[in-house]
Amino acid sequence: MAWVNAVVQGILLGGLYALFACGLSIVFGVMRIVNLAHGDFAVLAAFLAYSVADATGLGPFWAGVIVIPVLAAVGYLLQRVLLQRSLGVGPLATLLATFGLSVIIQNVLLQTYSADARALDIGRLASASLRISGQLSISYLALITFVLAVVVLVGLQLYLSRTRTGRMLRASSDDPEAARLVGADSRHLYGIATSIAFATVALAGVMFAMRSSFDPSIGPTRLIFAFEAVVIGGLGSLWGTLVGGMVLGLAQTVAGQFDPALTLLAGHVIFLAVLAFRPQGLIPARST
Amino acid sequence: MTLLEISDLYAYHGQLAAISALDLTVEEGQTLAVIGANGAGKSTLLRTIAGVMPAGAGSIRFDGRDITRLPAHHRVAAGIALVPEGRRLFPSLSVEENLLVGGYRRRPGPWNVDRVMELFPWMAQRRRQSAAGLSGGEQQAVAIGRALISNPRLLLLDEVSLGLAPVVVRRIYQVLPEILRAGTTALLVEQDVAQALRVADHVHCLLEGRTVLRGRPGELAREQIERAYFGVDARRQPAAAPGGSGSADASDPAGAGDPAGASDPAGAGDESGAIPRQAGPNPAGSGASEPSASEPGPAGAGPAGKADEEVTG
Amino acid sequence: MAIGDALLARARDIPVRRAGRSTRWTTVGLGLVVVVLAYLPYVAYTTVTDRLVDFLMLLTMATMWNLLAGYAGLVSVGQQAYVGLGAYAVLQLSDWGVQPYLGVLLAAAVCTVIALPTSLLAFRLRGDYFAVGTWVIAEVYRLLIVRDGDLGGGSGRSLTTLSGLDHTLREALTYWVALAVAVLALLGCYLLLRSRLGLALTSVRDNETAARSAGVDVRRAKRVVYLVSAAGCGSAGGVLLVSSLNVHPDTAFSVQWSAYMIFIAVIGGIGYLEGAIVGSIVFFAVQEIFANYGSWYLILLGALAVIGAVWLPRGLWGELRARTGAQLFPLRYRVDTPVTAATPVPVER
Ligand SMILES: Nc1ncnc2c1ncn2[C@@H]1O[C@H](COP(=O)(O)OP(=O)(O)OP(=O)(O)O)[C@@H](O)[C@H]1O
Ligand SMILES: [Mg+2]
Repeated sequence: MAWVNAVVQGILLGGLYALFACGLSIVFGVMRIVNLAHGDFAVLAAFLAYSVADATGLGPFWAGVIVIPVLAAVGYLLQRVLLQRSLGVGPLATLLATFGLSVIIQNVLLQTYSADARALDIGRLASASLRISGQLSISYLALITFVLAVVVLVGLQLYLSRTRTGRMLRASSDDPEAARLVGADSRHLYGIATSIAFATVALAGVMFAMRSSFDPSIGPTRLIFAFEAVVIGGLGSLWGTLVGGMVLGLAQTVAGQFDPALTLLAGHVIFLAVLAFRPQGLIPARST
Repeated sequence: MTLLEISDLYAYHGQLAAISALDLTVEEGQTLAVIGANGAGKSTLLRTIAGVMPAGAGSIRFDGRDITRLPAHHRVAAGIALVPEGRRLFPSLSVEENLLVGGYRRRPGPWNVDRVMELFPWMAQRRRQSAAGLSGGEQQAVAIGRALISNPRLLLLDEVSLGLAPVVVRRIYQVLPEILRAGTTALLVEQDVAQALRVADHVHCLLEGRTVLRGRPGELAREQIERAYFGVDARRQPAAAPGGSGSADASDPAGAGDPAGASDPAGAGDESGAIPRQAGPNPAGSGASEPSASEPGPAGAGPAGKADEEVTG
Repeated sequence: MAIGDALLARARDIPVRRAGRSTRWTTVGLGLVVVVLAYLPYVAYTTVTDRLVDFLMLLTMATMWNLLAGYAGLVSVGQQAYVGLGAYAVLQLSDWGVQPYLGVLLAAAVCTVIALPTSLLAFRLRGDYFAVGTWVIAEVYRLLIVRDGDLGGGSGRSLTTLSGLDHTLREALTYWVALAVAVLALLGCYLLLRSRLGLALTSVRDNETAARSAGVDVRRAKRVVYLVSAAGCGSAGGVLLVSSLNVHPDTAFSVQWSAYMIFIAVIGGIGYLEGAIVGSIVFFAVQEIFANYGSWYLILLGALAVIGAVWLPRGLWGELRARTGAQLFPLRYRVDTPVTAATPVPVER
């Protein structure tokens, strides 16, 4: 039964990883870049939500509702002001700039909030759970996070396939120049892609902050998990990202069941195994 | 009324001037064919007009408005649509989505998805299919449809026959008049000279980025066109053109797309192989690596191109 | 005679050299700097040489990162893997009875050996994904080391085999080893880049497709650079251990090392050997000046790196060189007499 529990927890955890990862996946699909500060923006969102909740007395959910659009706007601006320029400089520039950004964010947070671990206080919900049997109980928060992740992914999928802008994002991901020929304003599109990435990663950061404690230094680990989810699932496919997140979550919780010290290592090993034996990922991008 | 007016245009790929001192006008409702051998600069010209290639110098006016520095997407909105060389459909989008994307900056006008599907009836049944799974001719039809849906005033077509079977090419050229009947102005690039002459009101021949011949198809002798196409006329020019001796820097040997017979444009005659390599001694003795380089003067100086016009046009 | 032969014949007569007249003097100058630095322990306090050990260690790492990014186009955020492995290699070797200073040099070999299979995996990822992939790999090595209880597991361990040495002597030896490693790293890069492989790398950097079609084995060239870079970082990690005398997996494998390498290279100038030197000096100066202001120096350096990457991609040295033509390590060929229009190539037909 403990094993069933580990599996269920792993799948639920995978939802959170997919939430962290989908922005990475979209930005890479559209612009072919990885924002190395992706995880740090999630942490930034968590701290902002913490401050908003602290200052206004709003619950963390409402604080999240305020913070997410703010991060989306930050993403759009960041794209227009910094990333767009870096795209024109050369292949290294974006990586280096976002890496610099990552270090800046971590240290600004460190200076502002200190290195103490914090948590978003969600009261009773933190410990409330759906008891299925003596061994197996599902935390409501984990369930909510998972459902949110699925809703976000379905929403993104619909956005990409049904709306004008979404279609253009996909077109631009296929062939940026041909997209310009049919009227794509690439800078605006890239801004939109980045703001989607920031909104989703902010949501992920806030959800994370409700279930675990966080401090300024945890961003890079979030980036790595997100990245692993994307690669395991297969580049350019949102469903792949969800599957990748779940595989990663499963690997971690199941290995943790053997030996807690193996948790992280198991996730990385799965990632490296996929890289070695199935580099296109478990669910490669559809071409239908 | 003049719809497109290009004057003294230059466009560069790095150091190489792919378009030099080009003047060109297209009247509203006209169909202009740009011909030229491989590497003549035809695609570069269309891409510069569409705005995905920057103009190095000179100006492009569209409907009286200077669009030289206008970003590509604004040009689409203004009514310029390019069917790019090699079709460039979006492979992860379906046929219908490719068309829909073409209407991203749709102007009011007759064309929409249904109308395009009327033009190419097979599309309706295969609208959900991935564009990547289509045959070359089908892809070309979608590419044309994608451009049409923006309801352009000026349609730029880059080698729509490239890589297609003759039957398919014929079919595409059959629908072309139907497309243009609505009053759309067209600027088409074609290597199949005979085909180009058949549909165009005007022809414009490029050689290494310069105009070497222009006129109405009826007024041009076949031989005249062949010569311009392969650059024989250029060689008849006094090669000691002003500045011709100072070209030792050889930084710009326009020889990349050597207009030799290799291109063999269909229907342009068979004697082609005999013409190019016979070039006489190159009196300028420029340091260009290919002795047959037909570039008479230093790139960018421009006089040769101008002179050609006088001779031939 | 074909025109190609004519050109070749002429080309043979054109004196082509790498070194300008000034090069001999820079060689002498650089040699002098090394001699002075080597002499330092006799005249300076250990506090000075102690700081210089840090400087030399960073210089080594940055040089290696710069080689990787600037010449092979590989941006790694995982070079800390080899810093950590180098440090632990020295520790393990010393447990087996190898003198730690010798171990520092052997660490390079150990890291090269480990880097070879690692590169097989890492090279499956390109561009941005390579960057994050190397980071994951570094994490894996950290987690593996943590599992090795003999090496101190998650809480680290001290190097005890040097404790018999006199304090001053030990500091001096450490300093000399750090200096030797840094000089070897720079010299090694210089020689590597002057070799055929360097030429191949330059061509890859300028145009990978063209280089590939000209017969350059791009993958091999990149792999060699990756191995060299691992070796250098390994030795730097060894220096880290012999200078601090203890090692903790979280610090040895910290991504911070990559951050330092990147900041130094970006600020100094990616793709210039001199860039790492200039960058290290700037980095060190900022670190010293802001030593008392918490982590603000990192914020400042991060901002410099962002600005540098986007607005000054050539870095300080690149800008300097673009303005003055200065270079310490001449890598480019230069033609003494430029071919001019006045001397046309004779062409026979
Ligand atoms: N992306 C590029 N980079 C460098 N040079 C280019 C590029 N594209 C074209 N060129 C060069 O510019 C010149 C003109 O090319 P362009 O594609 O416009 O010719 P074209 O007339 O369309 O030829 P084709 O009939 O083969 O399509 C050629 O010499 C070509 O080699
Ligand atoms: Mg072309």
